[in-house]
Amino acid sequence: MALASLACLCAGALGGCISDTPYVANATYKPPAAQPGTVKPQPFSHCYATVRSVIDKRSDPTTFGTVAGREVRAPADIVAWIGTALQGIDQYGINTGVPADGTVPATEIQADLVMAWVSNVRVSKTANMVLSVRYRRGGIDSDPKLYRGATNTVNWSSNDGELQAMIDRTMTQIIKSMAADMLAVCKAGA
Amino acid sequence: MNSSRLLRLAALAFLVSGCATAPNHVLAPAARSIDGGREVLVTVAQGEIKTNINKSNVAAAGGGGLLLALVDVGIEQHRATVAEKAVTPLRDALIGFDFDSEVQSQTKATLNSLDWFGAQRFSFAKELTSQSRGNDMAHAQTKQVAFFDYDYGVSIDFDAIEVHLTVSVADKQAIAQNVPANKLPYQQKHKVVIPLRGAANDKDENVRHWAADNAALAKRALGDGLRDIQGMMKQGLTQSADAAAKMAKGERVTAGSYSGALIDYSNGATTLWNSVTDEWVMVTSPIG
Repeated sequence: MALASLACLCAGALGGCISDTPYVANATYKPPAAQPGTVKPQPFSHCYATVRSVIDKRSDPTTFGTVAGREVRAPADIVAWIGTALQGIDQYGINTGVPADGTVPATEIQADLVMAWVSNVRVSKTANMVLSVRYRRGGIDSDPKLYRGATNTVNWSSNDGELQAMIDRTMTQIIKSMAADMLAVCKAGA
Repeated sequence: MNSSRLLRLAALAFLVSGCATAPNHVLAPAARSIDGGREVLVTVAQGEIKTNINKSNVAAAGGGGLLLALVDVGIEQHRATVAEKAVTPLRDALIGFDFDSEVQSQTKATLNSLDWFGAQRFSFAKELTSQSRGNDMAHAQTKQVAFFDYDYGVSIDFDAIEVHLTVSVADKQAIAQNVPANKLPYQQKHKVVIPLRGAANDKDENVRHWAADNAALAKRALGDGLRDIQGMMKQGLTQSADAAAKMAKGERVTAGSYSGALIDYSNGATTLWNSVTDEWVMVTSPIG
């Protein structure tokens, strides 16, 4: 990162190094690489989840906004992108799919994308995403719960990699919170 | 990037972020009506209420250098982190509040009340970049296009909610010919500041007030701000050259943390022209 990035950061305020080519977010979610030494939790045997529906409720599905003048566009199929992100819940102790023997009911996830936008606050780049989620378990729908992912990190040069990493990290926060809630329910009912 | 593209983007950038040379603040009576009218584009290039932080000036005070610039980065990053965390309860409480639709309907009503403006096709966008503006201009079917760029946010200490609007009228041909922004037929920036009554020095405490009861106070502030900024927009678009000249020599006043030449004082709200930022600022009486 170091000096070149810092020079770019300083120049970026004047429109120096920032690309004017819009960045289009990846079509599939990629969870941030695990820190060395962290172990993926073993899925809890009584916790299964499937994605029932994903709906994009934003007024403009095409754009996430701009970071330091560079537009960040949403993936062409953001519903598919969220779908792949929700499949990533298996990283946090939830089995995805339906148990083969049918002895444990799977929780069905119904997720509405309420908000997804990026911006910058002086040298920082920020991303906010909000999913409104209902869980159906045993034929009963839960009340909707809002999950917010919010990240705020130094914007070195608005390059593709750092923008994508910010978007993925923001979604990861949501997935982690959802997994924690689902695990609590599964453990209480186990 | 070739030089003509750079020039074109530089010209368009003035339409996005304003410019150093004072733009034209008067739409002369002879230039108000135009054959074919004007297409209108309204933008709100944000998803939720924005935060604002003070700039760090360590490098400037210390004579510059990359090391001090890094210190500035660290300070600003910390300030942004604090502000973005503090604003979250307010953002959560404002979910479902449709600022974008309200902006569109109010702008439309205001412009339709100005027969001479000839507002034609109304469009709305969440994107505001030099490129998007270039595309908007290229696809326009009228000789002139009018841009209404809104944004809204909390003040640095969260002790006020602010609504901003930049109005720009551009000739379709002028952009193609790289005419500088100060040759735009018209550009004016407006800001409405709605202070929180009894605001604390603590951001979290102020957010609690704005966000309470499903953000009732914040919604009222944004609604009031939007309504007031329509009045400013109308006054600006119909302002005569004499009125503009008189305004610049107006009585010097201070309202909140803003000072400038008095434009108007009514209903407890002070409107002034801030020559430094070259914008009209209305500071309303506190709410809450």
